[in-house]
Amino acid sequence: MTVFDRPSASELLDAVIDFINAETKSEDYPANKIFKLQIVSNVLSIVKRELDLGKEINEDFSKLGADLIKEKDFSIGKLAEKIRNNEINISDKNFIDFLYKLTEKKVDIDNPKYKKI
Amino acid sequence: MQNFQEFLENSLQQNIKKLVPLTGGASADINRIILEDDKELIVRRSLSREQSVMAIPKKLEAKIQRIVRSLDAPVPEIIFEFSEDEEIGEGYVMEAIPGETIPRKILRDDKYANVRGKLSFEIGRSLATIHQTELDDLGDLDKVSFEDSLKKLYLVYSSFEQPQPVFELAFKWLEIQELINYENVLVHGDFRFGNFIISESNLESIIDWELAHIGNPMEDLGWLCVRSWRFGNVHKRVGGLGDIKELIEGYESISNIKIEKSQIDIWQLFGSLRWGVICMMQAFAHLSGSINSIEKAAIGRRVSETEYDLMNMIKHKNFL
Repeated sequence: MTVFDRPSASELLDAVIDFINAETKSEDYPANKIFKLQIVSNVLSIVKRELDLGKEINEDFSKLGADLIKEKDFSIGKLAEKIRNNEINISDKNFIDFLYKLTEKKVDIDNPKYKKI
Repeated sequence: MQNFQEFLENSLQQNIKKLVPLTGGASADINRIILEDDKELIVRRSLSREQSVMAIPKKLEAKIQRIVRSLDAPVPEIIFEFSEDEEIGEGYVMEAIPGETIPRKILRDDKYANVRGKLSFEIGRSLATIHQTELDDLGDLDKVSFEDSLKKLYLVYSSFEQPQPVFELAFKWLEIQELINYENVLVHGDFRFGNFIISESNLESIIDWELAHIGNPMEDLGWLCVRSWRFGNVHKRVGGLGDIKELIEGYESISNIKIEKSQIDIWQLFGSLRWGVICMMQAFAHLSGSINSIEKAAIGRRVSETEYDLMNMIKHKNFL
């Protein structure tokens, strides 16, 4: 449920990203400004992907993580601590698979092209 | 800047037409000096002690460049060094080497098509020359073992209090690797594309010596192979343009050190971890409020790229 009208936050971000991308193609902008605007566009794209998909990813990995460490509550900090304290077998396939999937999802949000190249 | 320009003009005994700021290294203020006769020079300086925490003093940087150049490694000639007041800082003036440093241009522009094929071998050979530097001349340079590097990196990482399970795994993985204790050498410390000046026919120069130290020769080779410096050409392990075989052939063509590829793999993994921690450093420089920068904020979300690389190396033994 949302009380807000369209465009949604995600759609507004799309509009801003499209605007910036079009502007950076204009010949009016100096090269150093284009570089900075491209960074701004990339940052907004991360925000949009996290807004669209972040909640679901967080929920999925909370469940998967709780199963992995066999505890009710899971957090990234708790997992890191268990690795640090040798409470997890770092050769365990389930553990490695979990971290791999988690990393893939993070890259899907931060820079999805990175997986393709 | 006015006083600095006057200082340089007095030292060079020539008028300066323009002083052009260039992108700095970790702790350097770098300017291109354009003299009245259009001859160009480069000045590198550190402005305060605070900025130089990670880097060696500029005086030592200049000394290393002089020594390495005497071995015929491609390094810019040092014109003069200075150590002045707080405003001028400490630094040196060196020759400006014509050529390109931007990796994407070197990788993609047609004019570099011919040189690309031989760069991997040339880089390997030049690195072997650097690694043959007599250490007796470098007594003031820190010796950094693999264990020390890991400990220091862990301290930096943990200081941000942002837990990264993949980094924790990588630290554990590195701790149990069997490292060959090669004889210590002069390590450049940031040996990668971006710090190479390339012309249409050659590797012209190796720059940015501020992270130099004494250590394991495989550190430079592993850092060079980190995926983050391949700029999209991931299947070419050496900077996105060359194969590791050519790099090793170039290195071994003038060195007695026999390279085990598995050792480069270990140091490459260390390099990805190091780059990940550096990304965190950049992001937290912004988050702490010390520098307000969109670039530094954005780089914090590149940590996941290094995690992805680390997991591919650990899970799939994939170093490409």
